Parts: sequence; C-alpha cells; structure tokens
Amino acid sequence: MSNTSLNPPVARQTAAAPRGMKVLAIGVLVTVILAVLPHVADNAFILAIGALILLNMIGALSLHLIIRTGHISFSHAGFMGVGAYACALSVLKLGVSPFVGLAIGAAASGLLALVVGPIVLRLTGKYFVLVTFLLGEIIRLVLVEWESVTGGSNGLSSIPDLHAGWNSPLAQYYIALVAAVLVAALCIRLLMSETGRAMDAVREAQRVTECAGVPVIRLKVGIFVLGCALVGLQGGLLAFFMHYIDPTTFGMTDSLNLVVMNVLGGMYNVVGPIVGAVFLVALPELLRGYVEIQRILFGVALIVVMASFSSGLVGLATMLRRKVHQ
Amino acid sequence: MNKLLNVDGIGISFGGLKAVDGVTFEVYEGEILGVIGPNGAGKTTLVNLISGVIKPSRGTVVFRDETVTGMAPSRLTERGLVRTFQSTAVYAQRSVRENIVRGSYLTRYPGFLSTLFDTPLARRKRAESDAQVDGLLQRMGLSAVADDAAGSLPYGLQKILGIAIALAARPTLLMLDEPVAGLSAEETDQVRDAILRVRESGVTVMVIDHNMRFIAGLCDRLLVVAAGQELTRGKPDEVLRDQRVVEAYLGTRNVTAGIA
Repeated sequence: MSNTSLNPPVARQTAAAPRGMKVLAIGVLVTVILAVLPHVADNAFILAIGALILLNMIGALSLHLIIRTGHISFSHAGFMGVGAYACALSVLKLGVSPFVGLAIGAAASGLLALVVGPIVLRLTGKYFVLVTFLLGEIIRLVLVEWESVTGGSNGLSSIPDLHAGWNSPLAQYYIALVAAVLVAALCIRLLMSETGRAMDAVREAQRVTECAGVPVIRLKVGIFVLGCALVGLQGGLLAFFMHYIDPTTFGMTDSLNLVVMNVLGGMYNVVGPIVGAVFLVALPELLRGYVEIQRILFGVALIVVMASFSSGLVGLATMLRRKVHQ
Repeated sequence: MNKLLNVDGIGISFGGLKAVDGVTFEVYEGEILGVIGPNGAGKTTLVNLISGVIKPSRGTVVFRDETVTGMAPSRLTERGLVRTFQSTAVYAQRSVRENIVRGSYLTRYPGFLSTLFDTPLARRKRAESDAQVDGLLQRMGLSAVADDAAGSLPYGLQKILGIAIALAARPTLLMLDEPVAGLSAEETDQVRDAILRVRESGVTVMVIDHNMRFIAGLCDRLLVVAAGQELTRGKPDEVLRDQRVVEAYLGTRNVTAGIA
C-alpha cells in the first residue's frame, strides 16, 4: 500500500471476497498468458530471459516478505547460495533425487535463517542492513574457503537436470513458470491474509502492534525463515538450470540486485518485486552493448526512487492512475 | 475487592540514574488508579517496566495471581494487561477503522494456515472481530471518522483512537500513559468521559499523568511518584493537600496548573 500520502487512507480488506476474486482472476490470466508465450515467441533467447526473470521473481518476492516486516536484508543472495549448494551437494554427493535436493536446499536456507534470525531481527533498520550485508559476505567466504566441501572458487559442476530430459530452454521456462507462479500465489495470499496485516502493522508501528498482542519476534523470524527457504529453492533451481554453481553467483551484487528490484518496483506492494524483477533482468539484456551505462542508470534510478519517490514504479503507476481519474 | 495487579519493589537503573527505585503498589478490580508525579519522576518508565517494554532489574509484577515480571508486551496483552503510549501511537496512514482492526488481533487471528486458506474458522473470527470493531467505533464516538486517515484526526481524537485500539485487545486492566498530554481543556474532557465509559464497561484502569486536575477529577485513588520512588498515596483530596506533593511539583522546572 502506498505510504507517501495521507489521503485517501488505505483500507485493507474491506471487501475481502470480491477483491480476492479479482486478484485470482488477474493471476490466472497472467499465468495463462505466460504459459502460452512459448508458442508465440518460440525463441531460445526469449525463453532463457523469461526463465531468468521468473527465477529472479522468486528471489524478489521472497525478499519482499521480509521487507514488509520492516527489515531490508542484504544477505538474500547468500541464502540463495546456501540453498543452491545444499541442493547440489545432496544430489551429487548423497545421490538423492533432484526434487528431494530442492527440498533439502530450501530446508538448509530456512534452517540457517532460523538460527541467525532471532539474533539479527532484533536489530533495527540500518543495523540490520549492515549485519545482513556482513552475513552475505560470510556465506560467500565460507563457500570460497571450504574447498573440500564446496569446491571453493571452482564451484560444483556436472549438476544434472531437475528431471531426465528436462534440459531444453522450453522445459526450463516451464519449470521456472510453475515455481514462480506457486511462490507468487503463496506470497500474494500471505500478504492478503491476517498474517500480512500483522506484518504491515509491525513495520508501521512495532510497539503498538506488540501491545495489541502480536508476537513480533516470532512473526519476524517466521517470515524470515520462509523468505530464505523460498530463495533457497531458487538457488536449487538455478543449479539444475546451469548445471554449475560457484560462489560468484551469490555475492554482494546479487543481494543488492534483489533489494533494488524491490525498491525500484515498490517496497510495500507485492506487485513491486514482480515489476522490479522484470525491469532489472530485462534491462541489462536490452542494454547488452552498454554495460557502463547500465550501472550508472541503476545508480541514478535508485537514488531518485529512494530520495523522492519511495513507492517505486508501482507507486508511480498508482499516482498516474489517480491523476487520470481526477 | 479483587487484587488485579501487584507490583513489588520494582526498579531499573540507566547507568547511574535510578529511574525507578523500588516502587510497590496494587491495583484493585473496578477502580481507576492514578499515578501522578512531576515530569522525570519515572512514571512512564514504571509503565514500561510493568508492561514488559523494559525488563526490570529487580522486583516482581504479579497480574491475576500470575508472575509476569519481564514478560514481553504481547504475552501480557494476551493475559489482559494492555497499555497505551504517550506519543501518538496510531497507524497514521491507515483509516481509523483499520487502526482498531489491528488492535483486534487477538480476536481476529485464527492461526497461520487458517488465515492463509481463509477457512471457516478464519471467517468466523473475522466476523466476530468486525462486530467488535463496529461496537468500539460507536462507543468511542469514532463512527463519523471511521474511514478517515488516523493521522488526519485532531489530536484529541487520536488519543481516543489510541484508547480504542487498546480496548480492542479486550483488557482486564488498561494502563493509559499520559492520555491527555498536549490536549486542550475540551479535548481533555472528551478523554475523561471516554475513560469513565471504559470503567463502566468493566475494565479496570490505571492512568499515568502529570496533570493534577485531570487526575484528581477522574481517579478513585492516587499514587504519587517522584524521583523514581513513591512519595505518598491516598484519596485525591488528601494527596493534593499534602505539602510534600506540592513541593515535588513546585520544586521541578515543570509546574502544572491546578494544584489544590
């Protein structure tokens, strides 16, 4: 919900059933369009970009949940790495089936979040940012240094497909689509539920919310664990798509990208990370010849959004829509 | 009378400053107890210690025969001990109705999975909560502004909204931290009437404030706190005539009007 202006005030769930139906209808429509897309644009490049956007949407959406509780995590790519490595290692070294590997990856990320969460989530705003930034770096260093297990800088290779024969761009696109749609459905539904209401309340006025009976730390840790488990899932899928992982995929820049997707798209609206993921993945591909401009563009966009328009692209769209209707 | 709250020897120090230094008192069911004292006396710290916002370094808090010392605020609220905040504590960007809905969490929340899948239980609790919210809007005189942004309300109504949010948690004992600070005389009367109605509905109230006239006109008993310790206690007219109380107020930089 927009947090820039006081009027009109935002009433949540005043008409829960019709709004829920509307969201469901839009969701189904978008899913169908995306499912049919490969028949229209049967181009390996577009399918690969599509799969990449969809995978990153998982990361952006899962981070969005954490941001909605008021904590901007700069370690999200680190947890992706934990998931990727746990998944790959369990498949390569323990011989489990890839789907079980995915579950193990998600569980590993979730477990680390459960251990670290109760400590770091007691930190406020900027301290949380700093500590998660460090945490991301620690994870990356562990992946680099623990060579006997992780393969160090060489990473892990010869990772199989998620399922025998599922190695074409088309197959990967559909896997990514299914995963992204499921994660999006979960996140949207969660944010529309009473849990989502409590999350926003915690972020907006934590002391008042705690005195209303909401178990704040328990809620924050629970959401943190869920968000990290989901991005661990993305890590596992990434491993099966690229058949190779190394520490460089899960570093500071990647964590920053996930944050930027949320900030640029809109930090407090679930459509924000979706839009942000499309924007941030598609734009570099379109600007392939102009790598330097990309970085400058991102930096400028980030500063502009954070300094003057914190509701991101979604906020901008809402404002324009309101102006048109006036 | 039933003893709802028993605070015994509670204390906390911030560095060298003994903000609250061994305060002991009881709150009985059905009364309105006032805690007064000059600014800096440790009144808000006392409320913070009781309500779990700060962990006391010594002393105990017993609420309805259960030791709750140092419990987190949410756990105390579950047990019926609810507090409000001195600085306007509402969700400014949200509507008045949404504010009270959020206060109604304990009534409304059916469990993580239940609310995720909108089960019949979830719907039942939501309906119960909506009815409770409508009732509170009416009783607190907020129906007319139910859809206005909380931050756009006049300050007095925001304070009343703060009380309404706390009432949504169905307290047995409600602790109001400086409910009329910064209000005009008219707004102060509005809040006073609201508090009396709260007591009528069966909620025991503890009011913390430094405004002598407001407290004296509202409370059954007073506890006077100065420099982190109890100065005296008793009925309002006794206490306000006590020379030590007058000195405690005149001796500080903040002199409040209306001293008897």
